[in-house]
Formats: sequence, C-alpha cells, structure tokens
Amino acid sequence: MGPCFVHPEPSESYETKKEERRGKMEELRRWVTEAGWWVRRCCCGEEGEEERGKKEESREEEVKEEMVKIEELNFWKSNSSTSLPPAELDMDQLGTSPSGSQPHWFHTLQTRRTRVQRGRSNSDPLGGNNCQDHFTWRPGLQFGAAHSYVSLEKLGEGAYASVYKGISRINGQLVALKVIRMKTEEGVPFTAIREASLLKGLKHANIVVLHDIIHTTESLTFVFEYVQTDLSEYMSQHPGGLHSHNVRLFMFQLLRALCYIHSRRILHRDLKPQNLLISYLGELKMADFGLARSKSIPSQTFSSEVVTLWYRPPDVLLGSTDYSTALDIWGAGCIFIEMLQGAPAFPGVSDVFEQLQKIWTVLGVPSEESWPGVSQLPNYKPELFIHCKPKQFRTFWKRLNQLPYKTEDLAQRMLKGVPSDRISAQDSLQHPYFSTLPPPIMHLRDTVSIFKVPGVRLETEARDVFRPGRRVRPSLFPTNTCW
Amino acid sequence: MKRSHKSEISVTVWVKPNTIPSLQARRCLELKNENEHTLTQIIVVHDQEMSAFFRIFDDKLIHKFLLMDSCYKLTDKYLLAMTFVYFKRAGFIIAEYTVENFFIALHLANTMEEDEVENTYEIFPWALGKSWGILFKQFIKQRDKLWVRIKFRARVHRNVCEEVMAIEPSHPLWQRNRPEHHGFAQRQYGDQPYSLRGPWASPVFCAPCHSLTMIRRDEDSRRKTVKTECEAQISDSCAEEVPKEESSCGSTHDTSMDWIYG
Repeated sequence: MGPCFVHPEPSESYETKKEERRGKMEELRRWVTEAGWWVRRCCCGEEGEEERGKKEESREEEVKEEMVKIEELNFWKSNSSTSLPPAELDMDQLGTSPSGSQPHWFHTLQTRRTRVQRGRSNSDPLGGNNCQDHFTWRPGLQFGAAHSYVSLEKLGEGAYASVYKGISRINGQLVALKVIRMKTEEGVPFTAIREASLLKGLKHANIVVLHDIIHTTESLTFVFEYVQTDLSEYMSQHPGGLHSHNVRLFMFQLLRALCYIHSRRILHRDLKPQNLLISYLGELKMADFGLARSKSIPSQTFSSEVVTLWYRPPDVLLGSTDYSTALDIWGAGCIFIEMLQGAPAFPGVSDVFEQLQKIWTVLGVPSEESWPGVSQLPNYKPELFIHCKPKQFRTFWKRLNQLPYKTEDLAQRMLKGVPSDRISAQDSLQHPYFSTLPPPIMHLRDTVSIFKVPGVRLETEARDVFRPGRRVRPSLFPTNTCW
Repeated sequence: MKRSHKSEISVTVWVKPNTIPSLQARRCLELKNENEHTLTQIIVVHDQEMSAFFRIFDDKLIHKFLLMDSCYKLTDKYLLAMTFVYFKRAGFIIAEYTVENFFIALHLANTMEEDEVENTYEIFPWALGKSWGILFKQFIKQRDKLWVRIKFRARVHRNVCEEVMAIEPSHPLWQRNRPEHHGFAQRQYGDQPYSLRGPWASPVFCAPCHSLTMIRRDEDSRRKTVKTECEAQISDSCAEEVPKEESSCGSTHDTSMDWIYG
C-alpha cells in the first residue's frame, strides 16, 4: 500500500470521478496546510503545560473507569499522566554547561527549546497548548480508518514494512505509519500478528505506543506514536561515546522496559540501537516487536535465529536450545558498552564462530569448570577458538577506566557467558550504578516517563557532528553532577 | 519497580447452567482489582460453550487429526485452550463452534506461539482436503479475519489457558502435554526437506517419543502386575481398541483420545 491513506477510488463515471478528485485534492490541501501548521506549532514554544497535565490526569481517571473495556481502542491511555508536577527547566543550571554556549538540550534535532519542559508524548506536535482554540474533533473520522491519517514522508524501509511519517486527522498528532506488505500466500506476516498482539497488551512509558491498526483487504497499517530518532542515529550524531549521564538515563529506561516485558513473560529478541527510539527529551522507547514473542507456555518451539549477530548471546551462538530473558539482557549489555564506547561491543563480521571469538577475547574461552554443560552445546568447538583468558572489561573498553567502578560492575553482570548468571532486568534497576538518580524514579508508575521526575533531563553531549566547531570539554566524559 | 506495575489480568469465570453469578462475580473482581491498579479482562465461560467446544472433537476428521499429531506439535493442550479463548474473544455463537473455525483458530494459535512455521502447514491438508494447494489462500484470509475479529489480540496468557483447562481439568484434551524434546529452539542439522503428510499418511516416526512411550509402557506393565485380575482385563481390552501404528511416533496408545472411545 502506498503512503496515501486518503482516497479510495470510487467506481463511477469519469466526470464524477474528476469532480470528486478535485474535492479530495482540496481536502488534502487543507489537511497538508493544517499539518504544516501543526508542525510549526511543534517547533514553537510550549506554554500551558499545566493545563495539559490536568487534561491528562482526567484521562487517567477515565482509564480506571474503563477497566473492563481494554479491548477498545483506548490508545491515549499510554499518554497518561503522572502525579508529579511537570518539571520546570532550570535555565541557570543548564547555563553552567561546560560547552559554554546556550544549551541545546534538544540535541538530536537541533531545535532550541523554550522555557517550559513539555509533556511526555512526542507524538503531539501541539504540545497540548491552545489546541482547543484551533482544533475541533471531527466526528466523521474514526480509528481504524485509512482516511483518518495523512501520510507525509517516507521514513524508512524494513524487511516486511515501510514506515511513513504521518499525521492523524482525528487529533492532530504526528504518527508513524508502518505499512505492512501483504503476501497473498501468507496473508498477514506472522511478525505483524505477533507485534500487534503483543503491543496491544503493553502499556509502558518506555515502549512505543501502538495507537491504531488499519486493516483492509489489501493492506495492514500500524499507527504508532511518532518518535524523532533512534539510538543508532543518536550515537552517529554524537560519536566517540555518549555523555555518561545520558548513558545512565538511557540504560535505566531500557532496563525499565525490559523489566516490564519480562514480568509479562515476553522476550523482545531483537534488541539493537536501531530498535530503541529516542525522543527529543531523551525518552527511550523500545520498538519493533516483530521478533518478540511470549514465553509463558512450556515446550513451545523457538527459533534459534534470533537477535542480530552483534547482540546475540554466546549461549545462543553456541546452539543452546533454550533461552529466556537473559537473551535480552545480553543485548542490553552490548548496547550499554556501545553507548559508552561509541562503537559496538562485539562487531563480528560474518559468521557465528567469528562472533563467538570476539566474545571470547573479552570473556575468555569457556570451559566445563567456568560454564558447566558448555561442551555439550553443538557449536562448542574449542579447537576452532584462539585461546583467550577472561579480561577486566576496563582493559578492553577504555572508557570504563574513566568511570566509577559500578559502571563496569553492571556491564560485567549483564555480559556473563552463562545465561543463568546474568543479572535480571529487575535486579539491574536496583544496581548501585543507578543510585545517583533521584529516588522517585524508582517508584514511577509504568506509564509515567522518568522525565516527569524533577531534575531528570538529558545532558549536552560533548561531541556533535552537526556542530563540529563546538568546544569539547577538556576532561572528556566527567561523571555526572546534575544532582 | 514491582509495585508500580499496572498489570493486565485475565480472569476466566465459568458459569454453570441456570445460574447468573456472572455479574456479581464481575463486580467483585473489578472491586478487587481496582485497588491493585490492574486492568481486568474477564472471560465468562458458559457451560454450553465449553460443551460445544468439546463437541468439535467428536468429528471423525478432528479425532483422526489429533490422533495423528501424536507428538502434540500442533495440538498440545495450550494451543487447544488458545483456540477456545479465540472463540470466546471472537464472540462466536454456538453454531460457530465448528470444525472449520477450529482449524482456523488453531492455525492462528500456532502462528502466535510457535517458531517452527513448517509444522503449521500440516493443518492445511486436514482442514482443506486434497485441494488444499488451491484453497489455502482463502484459509489464510479466514485466519486474518479471525485475528481482526478478536481485535488483533492473539496473545493468550498461560494463566488464561490454565483457567480454561481448570473448568474441566480431567478432560482428555487437557492431558496433551507436549514432551520437552519437541519444545525450545530445536535445530535440525542436515534435515530432510519437509513434506506434508496430511490425513493420507501415517505420522513420521519420532524416536524420542517412541522411547518415552516405551518407558511409560514399562511403568504401566509394572503397575498391571499389582492390579486385580478384573482391572487387568479392562485395561487389556482398551489397549486392543487402539490401532497399532508402529510408525506413528511410537505413542500408539494416545491416552488423550481415550475419551472419544467412551
């Protein structure tokens, strides 16, 4: 299906068609104009945040009343509120940024923000302000209908879908439209069936929101909240490793999302920077649940071809027939190192054995003593591996030398060869590495963003490819002193 | 973090005939869960629905299908319970508890839960007959329609399956426990090309299942020696009724199908 969701062709006479087309073009033009207005609004200041907070709180109340009706399209629930007051941005504090210039805490899109920090959702270009003056709900537009969304531009192409930036005609929100290619023989791809089925049951601030599903005989489109960038792009924009404070915030959010899905016995199975969306605020949202699946039923069949090679744990590479939540923890550990180091932790080139060798270079080649049962795994061929002894992570990834020991400790607990030895997502959130974060962050409701906690915000990155002339702070990557 | 979870809970309530406790039960559960910040999804199961579901398995074709799936790769107890949950979510009336809908729901359950995609192809010849090669596209469309009808929610939590089974726990359908060697990420190095067998061929011989059956038989025979003469006679007559297909994965005595023989 193409990017346009607006005009199904009627089968009438040419003149009628022409007339209709003209009318529709008018309609489209109007919507594009409105869309442009929304986008402009998005880039402007955002006042009225408190009103927005109130509005969201009342929504939360409605959520409680709707407990049994969860099957309905109540997507806005995920945009829910918090009991915490909206955080005011302390410009003085930001002014002390070592970069010396006016802080550009909206790093990725390079747009300067004004005084008030906006709410969690980035899919709302109006920022919740004054929208009632300009915007009226259109009763004719419904969820689940193609003409309720206008496609703006193509964002990317995936294995089984194309993604477009779009705008909802229902409420003016920016959205990402994932148009699934349908094969006549296979119908809806199993990846799409799983992704939607799983996301329908997941409501979390760090998991991308599935707003709507449009299903017609020829096509299937998922309407997601729009998030500006992903971790992979963010790291490309800020090469050489990210600010240690930002790494902590991203890791906390990633582990929070993992804790949530693992408690629901769901494995993501494809963690990598490209699948972690990052909003301009620094909110991390786990996306792409195409390979994800539930693991609650005993003796299900599982594919061993999971996770992109670089982020695949050694037990799966060795041919282990069972895997569980520790699979995702390994991937998260790799991403942790990649954010700090600015380069992938284990960048294997071609095959499984090379990938394993990369891992053994750091962890050492396992033996029956260090990993009981390893010799029984199909791909365990010690004669093929160059003998390596386990190393301290800091000797291999130099960035860890500049950071407190607890950073290395958490990385080491996540990147254990033996899956059962790997730290769980829940325990990792309690790790001292996160002890410098404000305590309320540990007690947030699932749907509340960590950026609702006063004082939590992204730090200015030291390097920025979009601003190469900027002075890099003399002591690279100091530990955070934000609170 | 645990405390902050606002979880989604599914509760299955079984309603016996001629009783109307559902509303009351629902209210109680709502009240209970409101305090725990949970979203409750209640499946109210009526007696006649459960019976209608079990009646599907009276069909000779389905009976044979289950018998041939002796390793429970396609029809283990969880997948079967899922099909029932889909029927409920789709809001099927009793007349829609049909063999066709069973196959469609079973295909969806397998799509959702199993990574071994090839296994699910085996459903086609059973559901569509010899011309399945032409008809399967329509079948897939029907599956997609069911997915839309259940509002795109094909995931069924294990607890829900177990609650469904708990309605009539001794039912033979719920004894279909898939052996562990057919689970997890099984690799088949150098395996032969997959070919559908359908209703016309006996199942592929499965050595692990065969040995498992042999162990069970040994245990049974040991027990038999302790049995009274009368009991031994009954058990022998049962064994005679089961067709002996040594090629069928070894598990020639499929206890889960005994209920069909009455």
